[in-house]
Amino acid sequence: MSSYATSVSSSINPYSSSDAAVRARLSKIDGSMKGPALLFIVSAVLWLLAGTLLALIASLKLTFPTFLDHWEWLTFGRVRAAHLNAMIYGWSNNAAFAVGLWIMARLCRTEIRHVGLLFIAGVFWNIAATIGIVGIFKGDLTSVEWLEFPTYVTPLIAFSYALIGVWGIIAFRYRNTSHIYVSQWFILAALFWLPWLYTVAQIMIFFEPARGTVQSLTNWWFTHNFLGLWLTPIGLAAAYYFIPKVLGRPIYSYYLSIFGFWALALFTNWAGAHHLIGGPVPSWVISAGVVASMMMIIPVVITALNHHMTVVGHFRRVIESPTLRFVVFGAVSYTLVSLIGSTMALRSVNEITHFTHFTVGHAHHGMYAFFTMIMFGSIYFIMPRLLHREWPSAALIKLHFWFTAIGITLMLLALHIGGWFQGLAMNNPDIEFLEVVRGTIPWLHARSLSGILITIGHIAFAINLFWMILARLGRTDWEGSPTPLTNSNSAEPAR
Amino acid sequence: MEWTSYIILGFLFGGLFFGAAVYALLWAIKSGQFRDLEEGACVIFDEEEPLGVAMDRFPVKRARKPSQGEAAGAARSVNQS
Repeated sequence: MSSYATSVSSSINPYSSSDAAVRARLSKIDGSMKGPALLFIVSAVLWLLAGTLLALIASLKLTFPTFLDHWEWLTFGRVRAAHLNAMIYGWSNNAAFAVGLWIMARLCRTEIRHVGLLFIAGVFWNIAATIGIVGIFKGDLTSVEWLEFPTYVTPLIAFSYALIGVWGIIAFRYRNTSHIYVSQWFILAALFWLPWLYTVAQIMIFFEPARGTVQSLTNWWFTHNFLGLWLTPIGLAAAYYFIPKVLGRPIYSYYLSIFGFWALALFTNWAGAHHLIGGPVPSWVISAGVVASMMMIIPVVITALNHHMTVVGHFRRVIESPTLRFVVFGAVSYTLVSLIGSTMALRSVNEITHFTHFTVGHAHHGMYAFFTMIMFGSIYFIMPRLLHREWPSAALIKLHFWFTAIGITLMLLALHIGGWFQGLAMNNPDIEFLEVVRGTIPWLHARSLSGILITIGHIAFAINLFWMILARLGRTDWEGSPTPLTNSNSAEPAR
Repeated sequence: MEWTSYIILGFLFGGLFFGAAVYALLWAIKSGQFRDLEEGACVIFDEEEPLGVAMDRFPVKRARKPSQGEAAGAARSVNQS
C-alpha cells in the first residue's frame, strides 16, 4: 500500500496520485485489507457469540421468568436491549464493514488506503460498542428501539463510523475501472445513508428532541432504514457479487439489477411509517408509508427473479460451495421477508400482527435469515483469501449451515404462527389477556429451542474461524493458488 | 420546534437528497454507466478469477495426491509471486 498513497491528503484527491491508473491485482487488494478485515471479522464473531448468549437468556426469561432474576443487570429489559444492540452494532456492523469495504476495494480495483487508520477506527468502533453495552447493563439505556445505547457513546460511534466509512468512499474515488458494478452502487449509497440516518435520529430524538409524535416517527424511520438502507444494501451487494462470482457466470439480467438499485433507493426511505399504523400520527404519513411498502415489491421481485435465474440449473454448485449455501439461503430469505413485510404494512394485516411475536419473527427474518446468513457466506469466501489458507474443517461448515438454517427456520415458523394466533386472540374481546399470554408459551419454548440450535451453529463457526487463524500461525508457506478455493478440478465452465 | 419548521427543514433536506440522487443518476447516464450492460455484468471477473470458472468448494483433506489441475494451480501461483 505504501506505493499507493504516501499521505492522507493525497488519498483524498485521486488526481494528486501519479500511479492512480495502476490496476491492483485482486490478490494484492485482498492482502492490503488483511489487517482491518480480520479485525472486523474477528470482533464481529465475538459479538455474535455474546449476542447469541444474551438472546438465549432473554428467550428463556420469557418462559422461565425467575431465571437469573436476582441480578438487576440481567433483567429482561436490559438483556433484550443488550442482545439487540450487540447484534446490530457489534456483529452486523463489523461484518458489514469487513464485507462492504472488501467488495468495494475489489470492484474499484484499488487497495484500501491507510489501513492503519482504518484499523484504529475499527478498534474505536468496538470500544464504543462495548461502552454502549456496558451502559445498557448499568441501566443507562434509552427507551428508543435500536438506539438504546446511552447517548454518551453517540459521538464515539459517529466519529469512528466516519473514519471507517470514508475509506470505502475514497476507494471509490480512486477506482481504476470505468464501469460501476451494481454492488458498488449499493455499498457507496449505504456508506452515505448510514451517517445521515444516525445523526438525524440522534439529533431529533436525544440532542434536540422533537415533539413526541415526531420522535416516534423519527425512531421508526431510523430503525426501518437502518435495516433497509444500510444492512440491506450491503447484503444485496454481497449477493450480487458472490452469486455470479462463485458460479462463474454473470448475473441473469444486469439491467434489472441496476433498476432494482434505483427502485430501492427511491422507495425504502418512506416505508418506516408503517410501524406506526394505529398510532397517533397523521394518517396521510402512514398511508405514504404503506404505499412505499407496497412499492418495495418492485425491487424485491427484481432481485428475486435475478438471483433465481442466475442460480437456476446450478443448484449442485450451491450445495458444493460454503459461500453459496449461505448466500443463496439469505437471498431467498430476502424475497420472503420483504414480501411478508409489504403485506404486514397493509392496515388490515397489521391489525393482527402489531404488538405480537409476529413482528419479532419478522425482525429476525430480516436480520438473521437474510442479512446474517449472507454475511456468513461472505466471510467463508473472504477469509481464505485474506489468510491464503483453507478453512480447516468442512464438517464444521456443514454443522454451522444446518444448525443455523434449521434453527432460524424453526424460530420463524414458531414466531410467525404463534404471533398470528396471538394477534387473532388479542383482537377477540372474549379472550382474557392472560389467556392470550399463556397461549404463546409453547411457541416461546420452540423459540428457545431454535436459539439453542443457532448457538451450536455459531460455536461451530467460531471454532472453525479461530482454528483457521491460530493454526499454523507464523507459517508463511501455503498450498494452492492465491484464491485457494478456486479448486482447479472444477475448471469446466458453468453455463 | 413546531410542525411548520419541521416541514420546512424536511423539504430542505429532502430536496437536497433528491437533488443528489437525480444528480447521481444523470451523471451515471452521461458517463455511460448504462451503455454496455452485458460487459458491465462481467467486470467482477478477470484473469485471476475468470468468467466461466466456478470457485469456492468445501475444503478437502490436504494429504491426498495433487491432481493435474491442482498442480497447475500451484504452478500458476508460483509464477505470480
